[in-house]
Amino acid sequence: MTGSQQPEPELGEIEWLDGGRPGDPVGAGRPPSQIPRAVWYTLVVVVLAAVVIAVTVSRHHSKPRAASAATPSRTPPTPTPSTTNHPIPPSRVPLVTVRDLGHPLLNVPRGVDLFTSGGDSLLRIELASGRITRTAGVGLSSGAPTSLVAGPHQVMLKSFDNVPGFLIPDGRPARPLPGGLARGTAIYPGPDPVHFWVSDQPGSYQARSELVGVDGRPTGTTLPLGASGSDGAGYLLTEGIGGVYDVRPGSVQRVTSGALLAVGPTRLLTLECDPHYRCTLDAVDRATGVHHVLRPASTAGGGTGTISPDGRTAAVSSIGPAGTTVHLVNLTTGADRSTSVQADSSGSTTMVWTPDSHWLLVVDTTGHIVAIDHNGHARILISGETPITAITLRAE
Amino acid sequence: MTGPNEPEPELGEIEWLDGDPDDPDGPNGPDGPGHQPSRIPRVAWYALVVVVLAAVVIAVTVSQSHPKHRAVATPTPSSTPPTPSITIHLDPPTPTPSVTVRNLGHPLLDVSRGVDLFARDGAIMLRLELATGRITRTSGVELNSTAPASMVATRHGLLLMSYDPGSGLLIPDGKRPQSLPDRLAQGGGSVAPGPDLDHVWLMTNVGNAQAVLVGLDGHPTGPTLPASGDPDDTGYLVVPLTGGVYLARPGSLRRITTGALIAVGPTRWLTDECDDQHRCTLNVIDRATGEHHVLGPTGDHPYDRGQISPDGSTAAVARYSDSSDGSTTLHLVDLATGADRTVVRLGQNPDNGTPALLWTPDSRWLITIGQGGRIVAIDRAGHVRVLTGAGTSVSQLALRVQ
Repeated sequence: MTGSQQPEPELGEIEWLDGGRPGDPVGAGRPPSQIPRAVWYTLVVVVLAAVVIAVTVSRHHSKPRAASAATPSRTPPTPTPSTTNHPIPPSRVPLVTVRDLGHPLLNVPRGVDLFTSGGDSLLRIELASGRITRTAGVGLSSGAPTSLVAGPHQVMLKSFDNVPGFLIPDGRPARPLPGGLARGTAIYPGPDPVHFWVSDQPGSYQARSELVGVDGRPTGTTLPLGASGSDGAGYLLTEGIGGVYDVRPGSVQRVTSGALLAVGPTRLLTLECDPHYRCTLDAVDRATGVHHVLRPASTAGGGTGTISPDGRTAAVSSIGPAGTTVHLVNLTTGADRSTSVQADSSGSTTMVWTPDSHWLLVVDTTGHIVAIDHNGHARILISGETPITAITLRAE
Repeated sequence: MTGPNEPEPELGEIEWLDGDPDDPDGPNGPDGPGHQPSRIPRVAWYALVVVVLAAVVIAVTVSQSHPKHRAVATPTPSSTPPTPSITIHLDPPTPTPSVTVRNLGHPLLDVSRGVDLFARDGAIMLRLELATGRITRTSGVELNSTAPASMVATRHGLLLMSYDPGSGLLIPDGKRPQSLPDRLAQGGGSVAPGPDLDHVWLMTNVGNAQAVLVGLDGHPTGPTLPASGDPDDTGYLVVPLTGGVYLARPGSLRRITTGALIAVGPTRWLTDECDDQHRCTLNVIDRATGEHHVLGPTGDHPYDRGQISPDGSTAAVARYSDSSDGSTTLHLVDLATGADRTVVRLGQNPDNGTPALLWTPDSRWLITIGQGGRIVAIDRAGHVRVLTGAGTSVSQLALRVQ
């Protein structure tokens, strides 16, 4: 569809309609087929007959069944596939397909990849080039929130319940999470790119967190607490009696006795209340712990937001009559700018900043990815066929 | 069972097996099975069933062959009054609520008069006058909802309200249940005891979270609280908010703790307080002065929720098990020393998950629901007395002190 004879797709619109160009190892599109309709009908009849025969035979020979059960999950009913870079089981659509839009999706440096999960698919979107890799067969069969965490050459996808998760190497089919990565409730980024925290939910006195390598091997570093989220700097946050605490090996430090509204690598946004329940919005310097009161505030928001890497803007979601709306808070002045974007509030990570702090990427309530700039202007970046439930970013 | 030729029941054990000769209505009321059984022959019943069925068939046939009668058979707001012969009620008959009274003839507990315990057992409500042993049993206490319900004793009865809108009952002492006034029940939500027995805090599902003090007719009396919460044991509410747990009274919100509130009582709080490094201690707070007294480290397995005795000396607290059996144990904590005595396993409260822990006004007895749904009373030494027999399966309790 991106060939010279075809119109360019709208920026950010992805349509998985046909296969790649012949000879292209990763497939970037080819002209539509000219095969007569009668041939298609014949083909359909033959395929149906083959299916009937195959089913009949398999019922009489039970041992081939194991082969068809080897793939992790069902595959989507994608039409004629593009080329793939991995062996495919017979009569199955490919698990990995690649599409090149031929233009950037955002004006960001190369090496900034956005990952999205939803339905049966994982998308790796190379924002600077417009190249999109789709991995099918990663459906979690769960309505619970999910952890979607990027490693240097892979992504981990895990549901907050006990449904088995996946490790998806770049450009290759998914496989089950190995070893210690399959334990616990959630996965969070570790202090370096190849280690990850596997954590239980906080609350139970048996909850703990464990640092695990990308190969699933435990490092031996454990924390005696569960986690409610990443601290944005390679360690963990946990909600406990008395507030929210930053938890690291050998150190537990309260970051607020109020509510944590947004987290970033250098600053936090908190709601602090006094003994008479008079509350203020505070920007907290993580290095010094100094609070800067921005303004009086009344209520907490609709989940934990995220602060831009430059520490200047917090993206928070606020519950109102119209739903959960994304707001941008200036962390110097406290000014609050409401956007038109209705954010998904399912509990998964649905807001990320680009490394240059120019763009906030948000999963909206319709499952699209929306890019919001500093002024609050929004545009749909990705309008895929599968609703998106979680996103994460990797910057090399 | 209380006649002169029958053995006396165990102290405090109630068994509803047959009639009470002192009770003119019998154990199941004027309409219940305490009356003489019918002597109509079985054949007559069969004939009656056949006749009724035939009537139904004829009525349906007639109504279908005469379309102009349909409006009568299926009344609509604009239809003419129905012809009596066509009116057919196919719904199963609803059991008529009944009220029966039984007098054990001896106290259930050694407490002063005017201490009444209300116990909900399915569609039955028991009122146990602890000092006299008089027990009133009201049947037909059914809510049109399976949602959790709140239960508050009032000056002349009991108020039972479902979290779902439109489902609630007022059970006047010694009378059959009545529907709650629309003003109370129409929004659903919950109720909590007010500052006196004639008022309750109404916390509806609609609009902003707030509590409104209403009379038992549902009319607001003026005071409102800016948040909904749990009873504080003096007629106001404790509310978890950002920054801790607050005491809400009209015109004021005052923080009780930045940690967790474990037990409430009229004179003291029991809290779990943590410092910046999440080192936590069990604290007793004097409600009048705000003074903290640290009992000791909380430990790895903190308490969950409880109630402090009126004299402020002991906290009864529940601790939920992390094991798969989901059991809950009751602990009595000495608030002077921190000494903890594990007393008994508690029954599950299916309605709101929080065990009912009720102290008698003299602080001598803690009344709660034991395993199997029996009502138990526990003294300071931890001795357990079962108040109800094996036939009861109580899910909720409320105490009234007059």
